Amino acid sequence: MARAAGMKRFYAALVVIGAVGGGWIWMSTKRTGGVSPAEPLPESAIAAASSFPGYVLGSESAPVEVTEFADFQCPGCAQFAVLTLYDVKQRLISAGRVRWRFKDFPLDDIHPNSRAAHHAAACADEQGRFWEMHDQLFYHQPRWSFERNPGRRFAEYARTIGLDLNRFEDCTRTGRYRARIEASGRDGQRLGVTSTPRFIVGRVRLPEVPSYDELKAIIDSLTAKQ
Amino acid sequence: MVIATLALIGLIVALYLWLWKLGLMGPLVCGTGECEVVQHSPWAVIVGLPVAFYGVVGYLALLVGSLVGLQPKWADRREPTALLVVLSAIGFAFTV
Repeated sequence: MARAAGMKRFYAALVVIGAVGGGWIWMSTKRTGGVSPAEPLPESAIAAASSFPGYVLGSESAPVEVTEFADFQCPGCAQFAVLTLYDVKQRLISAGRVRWRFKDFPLDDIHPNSRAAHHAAACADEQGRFWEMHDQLFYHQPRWSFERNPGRRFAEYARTIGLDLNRFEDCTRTGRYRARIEASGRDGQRLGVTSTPRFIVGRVRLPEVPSYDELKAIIDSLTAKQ
Repeated sequence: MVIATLALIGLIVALYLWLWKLGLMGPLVCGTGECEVVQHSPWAVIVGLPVAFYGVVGYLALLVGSLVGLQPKWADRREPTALLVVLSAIGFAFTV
């Protein structure tokens, strides 16, 4: 009799432990990132970060500069990065004909993971690997775009491109480049950017996403005028 | 009873880590920090499966084995105890 009562208490304890554990796991599935990159920032911090010029690829002496406003979660931006930017790098940037400037333009309303991706890229830049992370994010965009916790993917990419993972994790956790990303987005708004990807070649804002040939033709014409 | 209780706790922790690895959880929370570094290390996946998955299977087997061993008709038999010894040995070897 005493044994039966003891077993009942034991089973009840197991049920309680199981319920507490199950509840903990359930709550964990509802939790989002520690530092939400979309939390409001002080205006003073954004103003202080407004001098950030973007991420630059190519020679300072290149005759033409292209500024790209992009969103890492935007499929059109990924398509451009995968299909067109590779040729641009190989034929124009490496040849010293173009200087490429990437500016953050996360579209939070339609791309909930975008700002975190931009922050991961900024954290990679801290270790001198922005363009490597840029490629990882765009090439693997479908994998992380709709994940509840894209940070685990970003950490995988950080490891793939050889970042110091502890430093990267610390950077993403503290969100120290949030103001810079916000300032870059506002810069785009000031210039009339409303969607991504958008390009400014020299002083001309292109109305459409150019193919490589179209972009080259514009750059050729600008170079010829100089 | 002690083994069943510990196996259940282990099962919950392993399940949490496995679901995190599958991308179904929020950020990883652990007392000591650096858990994400461990979860992203090359040794966090064995034969294409997350280590935490092996933990789920192992702890589940331990839990079932210990609960079966507590049933009156199994109380005098040695099989459940032998199963627990074998599973514990495998788990220990895996940890090493």
